[in-house]
Amino acid sequence: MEVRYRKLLTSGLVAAFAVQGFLVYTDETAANARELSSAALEGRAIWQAKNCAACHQIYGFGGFLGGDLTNAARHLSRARLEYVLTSGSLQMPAFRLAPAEIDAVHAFLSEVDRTGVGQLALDGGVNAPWFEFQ
Amino acid sequence: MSATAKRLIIVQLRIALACVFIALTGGVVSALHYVPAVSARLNALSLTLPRLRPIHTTFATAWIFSCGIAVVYSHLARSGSGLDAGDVRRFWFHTIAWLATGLGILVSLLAGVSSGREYLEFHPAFSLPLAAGWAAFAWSFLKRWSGGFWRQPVYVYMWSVSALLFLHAFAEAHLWLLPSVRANVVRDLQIQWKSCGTLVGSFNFLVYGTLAYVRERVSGDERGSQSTLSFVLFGVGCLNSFTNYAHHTYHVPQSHLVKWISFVVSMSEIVILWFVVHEVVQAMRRARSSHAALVFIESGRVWTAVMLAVAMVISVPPWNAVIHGTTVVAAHAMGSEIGIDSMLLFGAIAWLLRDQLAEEPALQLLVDVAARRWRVHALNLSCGALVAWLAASGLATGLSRLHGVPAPAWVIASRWVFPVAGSVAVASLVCVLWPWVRVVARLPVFDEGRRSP
Repeated sequence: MEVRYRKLLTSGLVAAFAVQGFLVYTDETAANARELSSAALEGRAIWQAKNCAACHQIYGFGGFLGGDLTNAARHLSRARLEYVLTSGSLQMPAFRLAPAEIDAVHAFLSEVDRTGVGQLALDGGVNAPWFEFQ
Repeated sequence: MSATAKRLIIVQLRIALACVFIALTGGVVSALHYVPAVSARLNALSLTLPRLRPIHTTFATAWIFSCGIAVVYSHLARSGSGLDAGDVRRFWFHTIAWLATGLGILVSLLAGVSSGREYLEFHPAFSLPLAAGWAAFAWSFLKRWSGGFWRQPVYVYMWSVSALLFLHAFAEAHLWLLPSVRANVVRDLQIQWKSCGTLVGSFNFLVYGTLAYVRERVSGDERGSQSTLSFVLFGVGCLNSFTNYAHHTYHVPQSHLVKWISFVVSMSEIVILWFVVHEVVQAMRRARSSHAALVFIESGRVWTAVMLAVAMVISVPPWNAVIHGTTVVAAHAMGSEIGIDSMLLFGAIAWLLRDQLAEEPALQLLVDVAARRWRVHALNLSCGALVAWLAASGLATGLSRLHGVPAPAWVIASRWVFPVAGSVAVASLVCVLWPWVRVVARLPVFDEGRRSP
């Protein structure tokens, strides 16, 4: 390939990279999203410290052994969460968390739930969030 | 190639092989967690999945980067005036930085200290020496082309993209440390997917560049690396590296434009797919080459065709909605890392050891042992079984979710397939790697004439 075309190709790729970054960093969905409360932030810190993402996903990001927890707060009560976290279940190890820490994790999952739908058909429909199909 | 350059490459290969063995060990033990009874015992020993899985993913990534870097150094050593004193100093700087950091990461992960961030799960305190080491490597590589970059072969373009993308993506992946990003889950998710996608692009270009370079060296034909076709494929691949990570984010709340761009760009991969399939067919028609490197590269081509097809399926929105968050995505990731990246890097190791480093015929024969057909077939079949089970169970789970019913009983009942197929795949990998371990162990590292233990 001639040098001038190589320069053109490289310039185009640099421009594409810049545009992609611009689109992501100026995204209105994120700009309009509500910030986590201090309790949820504490819950998030526990989520990371225990590396929950090794087994669980948020919006599909994480491991596959446990379930996707994006919308877990809809069906997981505070009492059930406490039981699972302190006793463990099947492959899940028991975490010795204080009641305040369990509250924080619950707050985190509740606030993540309000950001959107993490999985298909959670609302009983078959519509993907941005692409309707039959 | 100078004796000093050879020693540096041997050190780098030793690091790469150590990384792959740590990754395999972590992977096998992690997979045992899919058997509930075994998982409970492992948890009782504090060998929980949150501690083990990061070891597997971190060192699997380190293996790909380390091996690719060994090939890059072999090119630097052969081009121009070879490696200068500054290059050697920077090599030892990043080697010591990465070795110390790697040890620290291993110990800290086993102790349960983690960032809790997918793919970069080590504590962020380790990030600075990792990035500093990469900057030293990137400097050694990029400064070489300051006088005449544009006429360089396509693999120099690929490696340059890899060197720069890594620094950008690695920095971006740490933006969560800023309170404003950490407090906004949506923003954080968007950035995390973008940075991880670009990081994968970085090591992919290290591997693609390695493939182009080794093919040129083995065939002796330099025209391919300067051709219009190779640059067009580079451009398509590069565009995909920037954008098509978003085919994993169709469910993430974000601009639909980002998703549509991802979808359209992902479909452009059909161009690459067409050429890869064409090359596979051509290679099958030709007489089989006896060079050990080409045996692995041929396998890598087949895996590339299959995984590109899977990637395109994942990118189609309705299908993506069905399989999103299931083990189909894991099948794609594992198939790409083992079938494409590792297979192509095995070809690179075979070439490096056989043609560049091992002078004794006995050692060269030992290099070829790894490429014997039964070993490669066993590796392909076992990895194929692993990927097929992940894809089938993920698809069944996704379809069940679509219809609002529980996953089929066979998906749960067959979970043992994952550790079993994984263990067989690891045994096959060891069969391939072990002869090379023996060769690398016998090559001199410290002084000429003195053998390393």
